[in-house]
Amino acid sequence: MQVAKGSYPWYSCGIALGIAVLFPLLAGMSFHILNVAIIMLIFILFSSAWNFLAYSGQASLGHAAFFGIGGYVSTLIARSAGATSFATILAGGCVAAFIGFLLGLTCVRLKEWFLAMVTFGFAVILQVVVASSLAATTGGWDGIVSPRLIPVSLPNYLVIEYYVILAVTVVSIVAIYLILRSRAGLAFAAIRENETEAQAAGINPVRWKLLAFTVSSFLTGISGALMVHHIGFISPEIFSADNSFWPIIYSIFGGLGTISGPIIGTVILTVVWDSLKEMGLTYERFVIIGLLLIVVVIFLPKGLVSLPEKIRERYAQRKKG
Amino acid sequence: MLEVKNLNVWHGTMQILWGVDLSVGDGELVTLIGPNGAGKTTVVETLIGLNRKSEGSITFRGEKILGWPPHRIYHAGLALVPERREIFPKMTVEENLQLGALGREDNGQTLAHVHALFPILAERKHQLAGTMSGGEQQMLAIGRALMSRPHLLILDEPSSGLSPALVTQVFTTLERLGREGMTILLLEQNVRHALELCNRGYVLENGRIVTSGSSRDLIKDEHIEKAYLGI
Repeated sequence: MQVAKGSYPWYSCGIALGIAVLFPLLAGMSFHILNVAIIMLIFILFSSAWNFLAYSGQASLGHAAFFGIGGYVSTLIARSAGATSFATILAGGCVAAFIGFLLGLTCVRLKEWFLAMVTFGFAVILQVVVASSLAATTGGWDGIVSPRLIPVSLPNYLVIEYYVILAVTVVSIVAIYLILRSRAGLAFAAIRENETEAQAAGINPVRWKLLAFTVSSFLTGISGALMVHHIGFISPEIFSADNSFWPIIYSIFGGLGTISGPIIGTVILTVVWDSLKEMGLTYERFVIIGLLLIVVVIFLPKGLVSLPEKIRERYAQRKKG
Repeated sequence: MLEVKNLNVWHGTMQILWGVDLSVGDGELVTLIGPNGAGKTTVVETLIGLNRKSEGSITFRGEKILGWPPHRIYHAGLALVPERREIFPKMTVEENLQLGALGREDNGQTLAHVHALFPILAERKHQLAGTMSGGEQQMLAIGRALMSRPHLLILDEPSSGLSPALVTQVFTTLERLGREGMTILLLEQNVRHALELCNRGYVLENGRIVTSGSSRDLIKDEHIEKAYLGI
């Protein structure tokens, strides 16, 4: 896969980062727009983490599990400590990573549907356990208040929150990029393409798949923690199927197996999603997003990132004929 | 180098190999010939650790490797060039080669050696491996196996699906590797070519070794003449 190689046009990364940094100024400090942007950043991180796992050939249908674990762990620690900090968020990521590692142990030998079903089932089980068995600490279905990332008493707290989350997201994506560019990236691609063949080429699939599972659930846990501290509330709803499916939809829409795919997919779909709501199409937008996804999968199976390539191909053909 | 003794292998409940004995000495070129379905590929799969249900003993450079996981066997120095040149088609030529050296620090010497052996792989290094011709892919498959600096190189039907000219090219390459001191175990259906290249040979039929001996003797053997050389 060349996506993990140095063929990245650095100027477009620079422009994207520039826009992201200047965004709060452009947005004119609108509360609503900043909120949407923050959730978008969190989902960029979430989708990138899911996509990282997919890069090693493992498709999870239950990533909401790690999103929720990160959220709950960070919330519970922050509540007993009295404040949210990087330490609580990191703890959320670490516990998610550890549980991801354990789940990975059972999953590395499973393929395709079986892996998908185990991860899906895991999220469902976790939701029930958190809502019922652990209700004494988690507040059951009613949920609990989660301390804010940045205290509301601070001036411009939402802008600060935006920049903190932007920094975490950017650092994480750079880390993903560096891992995929290293030998690990080669091993992941080989395992995804043909696992038996990868074994014959001296790769230990169990080791690399576990690494992918652990890193992916760590980053997912971090994104989940950021989410609940941004919203200020957590309930077992966090384990619901939508949270498992959004990162998949974003990644496929933008382009599976690429660094920029989940970013572009999340940005565009979030903007479309929110604009539709502004236009009053609150329920119709589910249908519209579904249709969009179908169109992209049919005409651009490699996602939106392959659009320029597709246009170039068309243009070259027309010139010839 | 390699010593296989009384090897029995099953696929599920069906026994595929029956008491196979086989040995390859240091620097030797040995061929295992036999018709389709004789169990040649099963022999290779077992050697590189892909078959779980097996019995007997495989000793490689003094270590009993039967039961080891594939990556461990690979790093012990046993590399396979798989049948139908199963390279990774969606990765570049260079990435395919780097995969062969994964888990080992390469100072560039091995890559230079592989590039010297197959200049085409240096020219095409940024091309996707799947877009190369069959012959080039075969070169790449051999190059990738060499990247691990193996002690023993196993080739599973390197000539299948190649034009006669390319077959000659592949065998010329193997001859050169042999002269450079590489130990090779070659599985082939192209019996004449295989026997001309190698010093010794084994004949596998229905999962059993039926004949073995020096290539010179095998080429004169009446059964082999009738069954494989078609005279």
